[in-house]
Amino acid sequence: MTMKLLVAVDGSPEAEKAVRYALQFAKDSGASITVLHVITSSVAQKESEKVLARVRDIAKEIGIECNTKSYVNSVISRGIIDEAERGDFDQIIMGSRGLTGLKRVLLGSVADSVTHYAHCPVTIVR
Amino acid sequence: MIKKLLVAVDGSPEAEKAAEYALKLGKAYGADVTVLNVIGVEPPIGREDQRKSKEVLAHIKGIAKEVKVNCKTSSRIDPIVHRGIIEEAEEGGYDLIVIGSKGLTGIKRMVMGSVAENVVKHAHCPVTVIR
Repeated sequence: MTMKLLVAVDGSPEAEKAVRYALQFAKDSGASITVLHVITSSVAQKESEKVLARVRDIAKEIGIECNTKSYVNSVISRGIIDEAERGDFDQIIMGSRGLTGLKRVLLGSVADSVTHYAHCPVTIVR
Repeated sequence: MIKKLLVAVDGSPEAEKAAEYALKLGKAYGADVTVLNVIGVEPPIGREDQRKSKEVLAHIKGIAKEVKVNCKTSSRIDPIVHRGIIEEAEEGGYDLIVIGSKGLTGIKRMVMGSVAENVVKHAHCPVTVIR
């Protein structure tokens, strides 16, 4: 089954776990993969480049090609959901919580919103 | 990478979609697929539930046969359905839980049911929510 996967990252350790999971998944299943970093303002563009460069390093390490993209949207979950719909992705993969999440929180607000409102299946990695 | 897959079903259309997805994934990976139905009430009061559970699991078995995938079925009694799913996943050492976004008791306008939500929050492994 050839699928289009969208992975949402933010530079957090949980996002890195999700990226590794997704890249391996894509490699095993032959899916195409796009890694998305949604930022709330274009001021963070440089920072975003660093995050995505790190992702490309991981992809190289695993041995798979991936597209990377950063996208500006003031509401992160909406940015992810919009992108998934626009690109007609089959599945979204993301970490259980991101950079701003408290350690004791089981599911961050972005992951929570995405699992609720995405048009496609969502995998939460922890 | 995915070796053991657990899919939770309850007879709802969303659960059937989840099962179909899990079976396809299981086939692609050559992974073991287990279809789980959690029954809320113990027999004898839950005898009707038990009968329904058998029906639901048999239906999924039928789908598995159609797509030519082997799957195991399991039913488990736990009044807290999400706990039943999570415990089964932990005890069995599953790598992935697949679940529908809402089940039989879900209201149409709701985007996600409580069981799916709690499984996503508390599972030890990745969870895929199908809709």
